[in-house]
Amino acid sequence: MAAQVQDVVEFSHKQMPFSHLPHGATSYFARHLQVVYLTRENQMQWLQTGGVNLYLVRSGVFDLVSIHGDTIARLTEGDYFGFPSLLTGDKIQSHLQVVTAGLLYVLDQQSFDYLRREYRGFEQHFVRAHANRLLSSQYKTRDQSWSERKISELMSSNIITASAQVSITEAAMKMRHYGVSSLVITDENTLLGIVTDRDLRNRVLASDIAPSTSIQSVMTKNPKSIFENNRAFSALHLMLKHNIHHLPVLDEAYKPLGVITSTDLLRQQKSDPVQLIGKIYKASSVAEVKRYSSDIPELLKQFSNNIEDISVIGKLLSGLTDALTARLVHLYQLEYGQAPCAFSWICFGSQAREEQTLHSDQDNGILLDANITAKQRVYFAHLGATVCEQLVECGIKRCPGNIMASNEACRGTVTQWQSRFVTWIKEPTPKAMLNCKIYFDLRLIDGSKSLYQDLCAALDMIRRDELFFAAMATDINTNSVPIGLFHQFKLEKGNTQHKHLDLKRRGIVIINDLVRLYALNVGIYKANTLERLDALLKFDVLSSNDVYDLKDCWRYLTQLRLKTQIKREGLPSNCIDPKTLTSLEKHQLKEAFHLVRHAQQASAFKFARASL
Amino acid sequence: MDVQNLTFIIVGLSFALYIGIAIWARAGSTNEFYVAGGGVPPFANGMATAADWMSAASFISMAGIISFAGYDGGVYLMGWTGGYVLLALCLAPYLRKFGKFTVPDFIGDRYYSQVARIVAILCAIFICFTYIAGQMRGVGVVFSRFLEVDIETGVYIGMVIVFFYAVLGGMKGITYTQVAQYCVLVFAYLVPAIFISLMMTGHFLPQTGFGATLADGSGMYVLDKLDGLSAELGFAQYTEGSKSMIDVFAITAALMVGTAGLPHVIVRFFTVPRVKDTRISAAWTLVFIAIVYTTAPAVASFARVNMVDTINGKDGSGTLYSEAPAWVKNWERTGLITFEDKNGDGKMSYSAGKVSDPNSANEVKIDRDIMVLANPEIADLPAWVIALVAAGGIAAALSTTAGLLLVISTSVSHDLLKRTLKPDISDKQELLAARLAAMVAIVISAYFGINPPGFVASVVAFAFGLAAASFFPAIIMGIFSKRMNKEGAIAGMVSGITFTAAYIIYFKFVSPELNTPANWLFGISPEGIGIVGMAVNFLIAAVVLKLTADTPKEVQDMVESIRNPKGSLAAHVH
Amino acid sequence: MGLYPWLLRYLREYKLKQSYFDQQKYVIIDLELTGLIPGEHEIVSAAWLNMRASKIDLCTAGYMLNKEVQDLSQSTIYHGIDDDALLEGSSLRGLIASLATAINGHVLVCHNAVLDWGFIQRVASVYQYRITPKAIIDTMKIEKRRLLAQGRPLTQDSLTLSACRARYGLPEYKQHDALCDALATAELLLAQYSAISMGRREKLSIII
Repeated sequence: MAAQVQDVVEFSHKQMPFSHLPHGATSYFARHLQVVYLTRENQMQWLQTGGVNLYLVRSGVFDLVSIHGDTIARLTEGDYFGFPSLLTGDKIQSHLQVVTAGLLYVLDQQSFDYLRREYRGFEQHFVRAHANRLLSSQYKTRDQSWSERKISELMSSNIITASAQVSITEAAMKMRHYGVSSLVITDENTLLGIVTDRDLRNRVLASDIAPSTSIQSVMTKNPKSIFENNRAFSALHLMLKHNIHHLPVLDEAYKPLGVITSTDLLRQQKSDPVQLIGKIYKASSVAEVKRYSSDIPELLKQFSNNIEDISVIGKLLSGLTDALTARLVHLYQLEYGQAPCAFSWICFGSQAREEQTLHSDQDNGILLDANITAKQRVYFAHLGATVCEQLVECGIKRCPGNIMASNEACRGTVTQWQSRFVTWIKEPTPKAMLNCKIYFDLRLIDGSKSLYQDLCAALDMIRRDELFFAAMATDINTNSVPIGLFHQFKLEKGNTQHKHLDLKRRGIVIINDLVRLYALNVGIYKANTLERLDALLKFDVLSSNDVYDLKDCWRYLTQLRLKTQIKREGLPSNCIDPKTLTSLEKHQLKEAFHLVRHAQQASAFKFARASL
Repeated sequence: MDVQNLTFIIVGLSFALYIGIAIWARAGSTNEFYVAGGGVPPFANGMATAADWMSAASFISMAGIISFAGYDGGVYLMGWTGGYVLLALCLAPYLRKFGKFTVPDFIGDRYYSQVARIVAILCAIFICFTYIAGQMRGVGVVFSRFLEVDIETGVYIGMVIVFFYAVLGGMKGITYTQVAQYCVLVFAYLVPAIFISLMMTGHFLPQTGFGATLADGSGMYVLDKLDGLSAELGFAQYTEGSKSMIDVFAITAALMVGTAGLPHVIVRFFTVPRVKDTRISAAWTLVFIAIVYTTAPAVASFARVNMVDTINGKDGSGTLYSEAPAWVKNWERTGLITFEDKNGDGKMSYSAGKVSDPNSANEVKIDRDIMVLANPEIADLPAWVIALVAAGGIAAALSTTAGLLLVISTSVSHDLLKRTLKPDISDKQELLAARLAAMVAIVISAYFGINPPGFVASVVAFAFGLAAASFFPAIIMGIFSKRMNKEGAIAGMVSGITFTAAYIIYFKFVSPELNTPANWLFGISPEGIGIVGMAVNFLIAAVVLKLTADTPKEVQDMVESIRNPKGSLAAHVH
Repeated sequence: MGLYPWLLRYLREYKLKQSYFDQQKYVIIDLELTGLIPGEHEIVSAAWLNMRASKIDLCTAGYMLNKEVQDLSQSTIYHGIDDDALLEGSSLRGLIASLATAINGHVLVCHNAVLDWGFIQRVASVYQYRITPKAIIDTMKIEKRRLLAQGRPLTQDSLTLSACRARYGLPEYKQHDALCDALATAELLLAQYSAISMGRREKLSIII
């Protein structure tokens, strides 16, 4: 008999149903379980292979998501899942979304059945839990759409009213005082009318009516209104039908309770990223920034369902990261005092290229004033460490290559940065090439613009080294497109059973690298691949046809990649299984890869005088 | 198994090795964040450079020339080795600091002139053509012998193989393929040399065997025997040159200076990421070149002794043609050995003089280029050694030819077409132009391979002479004289190459009958005239410099900075 | 010339490193000791756990007390082992025999392997057991490397098991007996692997 781990026993015995069962049950459980570490990336492996199991969360946070994509429950320490399938024998319907990676205790069907047989309390617990889950998930789906929600949940609660006799000036002053865009005109508890900002403009100023006139002469009499128990959908319908933006809300006794505006309804849609960016820029505390950042994944999901051109997502995410960073830098200065000298916060890699994904990690650094003192450096060391750590807490992963402002090497004056670049350019080892690929995509996020321009100017002077371009072109050519000798796809096998094509590494990355090479060669200081390509049209290094080809390829591959990323089936991110493509799509994809290969060869030829 | 089948197998295997390495190198992907950072070790890079350096001329012809010309042949040995040293020490480090990938680009930038760049490009193309022609002949010799066809067909076959290898195979630039080629090459060169050295002198090392006594019990030194044989047959003494001191000096210097400007080798110095590694790999290259070059004189002497012994017989009375050894018959088929029984005794006799000359007793004409290839056959070595030598010859030719073809095709399509004549061509058209250029280059050089203006090594020597007269002074002045301006450089290059080419063409093609020391300028042969061309280049450049405006200030500063030991950073950072 | 065995070992190591992390069988071992010096101090108890395909199997858990232990001065205070419990323990020879079966053919994982492996080797040599793990993974060394790579300062306590676990958000364990620590080490290894591989399926070489 296996020894039992005391801590596992203690933990399990605290959880339902074991806390109500004899110690033997806990002991059996503790001796027969397996422990796994569940992360965002490996969850497929645990949940889809190896049959049905009972899972007990030991640490971490996971969202249980139904097949429709709705969150059924948030699971934390002590929560179970997987039992519905164990009880019913059906296939697992829901899946997990990992919020924070953590440990799971896994009990297989056989041991589960044993406990069910031996301990009635055990069985009862899970049958009951299953029933509850069914109920709650049905309730949730009914409540899913925001348009089904009650008006009372959405409206602005405190109502601002005025009597019909007040002058227009008084009414306007009241509106200003409460900061509202509409005023409900009442007589005791009866709705008489409504006045909005627009009414004041159209019916007062534009009609040249004296401000001392009473408000009732300009208000909308007997306005359209809605009851608090109506659904948001009805409100939207009314507004659209009558082209109005404000609706007074009444209770069943026709007493005015408040006003619902079109903005209130729009806020419910939540999928307005611009709004979120705006909110981040206005956040007044680090905690608030973090709260907004936790909305990002959800927002992205909603957003990606609604738009046609998916490549906007990269831009959107980078925009969000920019906003987070700039705000955190600002908040830091509020807390620890203004920076002692000029600096700029710059970003590299995918963030700079505006191609960020949810999996992208941080790549950033600080550019410092040339006359900085050692004492002042301490301030920035702390700034870097703090902001990077806060970004991690906002869900942007730490950079495994340590390209972060928290790293001493990533904080420097223009000269220091320049000498870093010089070492890579002068000794283009593979490692240096890798650095160049990340660092040469750079963008200013916050701080002094002139410092950033100084850096660009400095880089412009050192990059005129043909050997460097040769090394870069050679480096690009060590990567190859996945097309074989006989025009077939060359599939790779990664950490899953499926063979796949890596669209990112074998396609998009190559294009990015090539475009960077050309852009640097002619001195274009933009980071975004498409923008670089547009700028390249002005130069001779690439003919305009080649530029258009590369652009099309890049768009096509990016689109395909993001499309598959959203509905991926156990494939590693960025990868697709060509079997899932139609023959037209396969043909297009091959064409795209061919174009990439061509451009790749041409670059080796032009810059490195390598093979034809 | 007979020689032909073995040759197919061994040459096939060596190709399979190159292709396998190329595929392996392509497939080897790098994990993005854990790149080891090293790249190719200097040791391997040294081998690859050596493979680039040692062409068919080094492999096939050098020993042949020494074998026939004795001491005089040594100029190639000295010139090529010296050229490498010059390149590694005096040119490559500066060009690297300058940050230019090709010599024409360096010249174009240094002399702030498109014209200078284009002149340099044209020079480069011309030199490469000449050099490839030499290679094609070497490949042709190999194929004609082992496929048992005549030399013409051999060149055609070689042409196709070189084209596929260099242009379509895309194997150039993969260092480890070159390393493999060096290994095949050096193995193929040393194995027969060691065998023969052991058989003839009992010494394992050919280098020591060369200076030892014969193992046949006579106690005679190898070189004494050769001198004796040479005297007996009416040749000049093997260990004493027939060329004048000044000519030997000029040829050696021309070769040395010419090789230093060869474009395809310079590139090799730039593909190593670290400057320190470049130096180490240059040293390794020298070692690897030395292994072959120090063996060459030994191979030459052994081959000569063996050859004369087998043709004229041990006693010197001649071997019956009907009983001639197999190798004579084999090489006769390629047309590289001919026998004319002038005195009708049915015996072969080899001596000085031309077969066509009725006054000469010589009945056998032997092409010099076959010496290395025929050597194992002459010495009766096993068939696999013979096959191995064939593989080595092909390896030597392939690595160099591929590099040169690339220089030609990139120069034509990128430097001339894309950057000068028609900047709006697409990548596809550019690559197409490059392939066409390569094809044309191969066809032209095959023509020269079939109708050579001289022996393989001397064809190559011309290329070097031209390089010496054009590139080299421009580079040297570009680095070491900050005042040199574009007018001077262009005038120098044009006059240098015109003078040299005219001299060579006059003596080699227009009036070959005048090609004797008496008619030569300062007693310098066409092979060595490159050095005079260089002097002309320097002189004209200096004169023109005096007559024209000075170099702009920023160029002078730039030149100053590349000679500055701190590196080019100082120049670029304010 | 030990060239042949060396080559063989090199090849075996190479193949091992090229295998995927989840292809190997692991045994995670923790020892309770009376001190830090093999030969002078003793093993009080040993615990082991198996891990396969990134799953820690608690049904393979093993725990053994050494009843021959002389000096309990430290261990009793720390880990609640009293003399009564010791009576139920096994002999040191039995203990090392069990360890040998547990370890052989597996990749050995310890937190601070130098210490535990030192003791195991020492005892094994005394009783003439051959213990040959396929490889040894040290979670402490992995952590140290990660910290250094991230440029974070290393202090005395930043490499203790609980400090390492805290860094990955793993729960704190109250017990500190050998078995709990073995489980804690195993969980730490999984967390480290997933952090280093960033979720991809990686080869053993990324953590060795």
